Amino acid sequence: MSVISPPTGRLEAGPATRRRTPVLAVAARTGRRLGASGTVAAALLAVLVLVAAFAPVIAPFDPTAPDLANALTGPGATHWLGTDALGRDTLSRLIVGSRITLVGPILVIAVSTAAGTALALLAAYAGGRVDMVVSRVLDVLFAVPGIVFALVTVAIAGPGLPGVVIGLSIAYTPYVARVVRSAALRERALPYIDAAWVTGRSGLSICLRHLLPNLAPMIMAQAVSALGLAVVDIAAISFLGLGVQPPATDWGLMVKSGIDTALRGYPTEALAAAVLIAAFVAAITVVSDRLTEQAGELR
Amino acid sequence: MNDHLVDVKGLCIDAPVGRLVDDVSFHIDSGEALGVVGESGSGKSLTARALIALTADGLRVSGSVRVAGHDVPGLRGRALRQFRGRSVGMIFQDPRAHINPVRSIGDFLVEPLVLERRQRPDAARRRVLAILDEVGVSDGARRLRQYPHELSGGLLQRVMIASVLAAEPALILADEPTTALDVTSQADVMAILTEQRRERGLALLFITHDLELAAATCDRTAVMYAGRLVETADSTGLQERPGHPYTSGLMVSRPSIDLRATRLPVVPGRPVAAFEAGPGCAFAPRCPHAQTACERERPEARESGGTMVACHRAAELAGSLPTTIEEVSVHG
Amino acid sequence: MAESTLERTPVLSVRGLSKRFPDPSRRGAFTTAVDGVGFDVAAGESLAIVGESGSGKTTVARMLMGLETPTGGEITVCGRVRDHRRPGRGERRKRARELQIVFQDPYSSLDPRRRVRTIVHDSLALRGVPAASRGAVVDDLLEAVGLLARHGDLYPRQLSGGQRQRVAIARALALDPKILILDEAVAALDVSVQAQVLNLLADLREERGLAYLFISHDLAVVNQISDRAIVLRNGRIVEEGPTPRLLADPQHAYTRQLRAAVPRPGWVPQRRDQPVPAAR
Repeated sequence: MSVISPPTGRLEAGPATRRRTPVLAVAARTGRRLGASGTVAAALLAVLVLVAAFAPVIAPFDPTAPDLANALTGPGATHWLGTDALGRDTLSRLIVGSRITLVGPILVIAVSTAAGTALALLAAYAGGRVDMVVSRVLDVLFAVPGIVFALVTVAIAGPGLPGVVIGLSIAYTPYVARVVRSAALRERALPYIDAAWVTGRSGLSICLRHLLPNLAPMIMAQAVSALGLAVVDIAAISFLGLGVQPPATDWGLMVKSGIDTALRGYPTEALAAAVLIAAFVAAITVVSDRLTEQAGELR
Repeated sequence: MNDHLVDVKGLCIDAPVGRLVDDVSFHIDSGEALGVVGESGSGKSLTARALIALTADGLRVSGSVRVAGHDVPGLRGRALRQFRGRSVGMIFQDPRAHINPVRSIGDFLVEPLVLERRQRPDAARRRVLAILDEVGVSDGARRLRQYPHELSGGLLQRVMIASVLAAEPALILADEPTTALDVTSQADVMAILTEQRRERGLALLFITHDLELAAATCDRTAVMYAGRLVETADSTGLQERPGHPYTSGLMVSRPSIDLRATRLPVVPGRPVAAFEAGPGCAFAPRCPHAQTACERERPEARESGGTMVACHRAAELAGSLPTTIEEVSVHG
Repeated sequence: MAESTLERTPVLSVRGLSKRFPDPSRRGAFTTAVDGVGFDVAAGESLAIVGESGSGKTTVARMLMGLETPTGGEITVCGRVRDHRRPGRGERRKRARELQIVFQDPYSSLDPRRRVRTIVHDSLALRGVPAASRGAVVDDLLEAVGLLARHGDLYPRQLSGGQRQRVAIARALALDPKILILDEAVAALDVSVQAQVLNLLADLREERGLAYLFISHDLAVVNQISDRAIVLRNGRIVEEGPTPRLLADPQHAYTRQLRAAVPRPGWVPQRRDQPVPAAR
């Protein structure tokens, strides 16, 4: 039911937007789309990505060099966030740890989104028995909690990021596939897909050129929101000591090691790492909410 | 000056994109049926919604809207709810979207009588059954136990009409009530609506894109274009002697069941919204009779003998505008 | 008008076409959507299938396009008998040059993420038109359906309903089919725009010798566009004949009922059931 039914958006004349430098124009458009809170969140994420990219340059100290003479100094002029039990600079470790904290979840999401989308498109397009088999396999995968998957793959591959990423990627795939499949089924039922089919397009081509581009905004929004979950899951696994192995580090591992020192009266490391994880996830959530609204408004 | 049941003066509705309804004035008397005909973007549905203050947030409504003695834009909260529930009944294009799918037809029909009219459940039920029978829903007792998905569109629309009749309003707003129905169901539903309305002396505002349907079922017909009212006349007069070139255009471009034209006479271009129209007559760019004055100056609504036409050349064109395909072919 | 020799050879021939769907409410039960429908369409002819919702008219169209699998009967298009199995890409490409379709809803029948030019271009590529000449052919097709070259650069959402339907027609014409199925193709359009599209369809048929299968519930529109008509009810043909005859002198009670329900000057809506006098 449309309450307002003016023929909006029927541009009879060509677009008459003011010309601006492309970068500024894109930034302005993105800003309008994201709103105030979304822009702040997106800026925060951008800063995090930049910090991770230039971590070795930015970090004031070598994050792995022990300095037992300066162990557990607490925040000060030299070590802004203090040092840990081995005398390593907490700020430097947070900066360098951001890399794995970022890369791990992004890998998980990239792999699971690609796999889940492929399965969903296959099931939705082929329908019938193919859809049934794919759906049943996904149901079975659903029954296993994500962390359990990661524990199994870590047991096989040994502790460390690769095992965790593989396990969580498998665990996330059915979630992606289920959401994308139901959207793809709706899209598949639209006459433009039938029209493409009767003009003689191949199934693969219909999936890649028609279904995928139309589902892309929704897939993106879904991926960003799952990114928040992946950050928390990887942090939890690192906290259990099964993820990143010392002397390398991520924020999850720093919460764990920080808790030991917190008990000795130096809470900065655990607090700083925990706050960063929370802020990161919150920023992702805000951005993903805005993207979801956008995907919904597209039609 | 007598008191009309519905009296709309200078109604304007503005959206962020621009004006959607532009200076619309009309009235409906008790027991009278007015058809409002228009294409997409004409603002006909918005006009109807303004009568019960049901326009979407973000739209600014101005002008005077008086219905059954109420100043509608001034109504708030409880008073507005009572006005909507008691004075006006609304029938929509898609009854399925306006009847709760998880409640039975019985709940939908009986509950308002019990909760709002304080009728006893068994009395309300008897009353509902009587009304269902009158609107041609057979086997009412079984229907009351059924759910919306078990009923066809035509039957569901009759249930909708029954719910409106049960509320005993003074005015029914029907917004394209038969557009989603088959032609045979459409004839049924319109026949029932007309018959019940006459019997009960209810006024009707009937919104449609189908001029012939409006003229066949309403006492007077109004034609809207680009958010403006271009012509209002009694239905027979309008069909015999359309006063506005757009009305005539609507009549001749619609294929006929009796005649076949080599080519249909067309109104070139497409319907526009009010904010897309120029300073003059909104129809001028599509009008075969347009002159320079039409593009510059907005025609005023001129009334004579109960008909209103907003056209600069109304006097010259009076009686000469074609009403059928045949006449157009004759005129060249 | 096509030559009389051409009118003798049907480009589309349907015999005993049936479709049963499993009934979702009763296990093992079926509902019959189409029941033994047969008709011929000659080259350049316009045949209307008239029916209300549930008459099976759209199911017939979908079976002809291969979008639904018939449960019985035979479809012959351009002399080739159709295999009822779901066609692969090669077979679909071959069929695409015989039979094309324009759907009812101009909003969902075009890919919202593809520009008008790309939509028409896609069809040409599938037909095997050499890449070098496609651009010029797209312009010709847009012009043929009454669009301007600049419309090619727009997305469907930037067009009005009538313009979108013109794009859908151009997409179908790009495959140079012999028969065009128009499934309620003008039903969603405004009256003034509907007349424009009906005239366009008449012109295209004359210029290209296309045959139309015009599926509609609207007898007035059917009168304007078809030579012959079939009236479908509950999946069966109840009446068929030349359109002027069928409308002027309907033989079957249902056809008469349909005709009587069409609003026209002097018409008064009648209830099919006489209301039971209310007990007072």
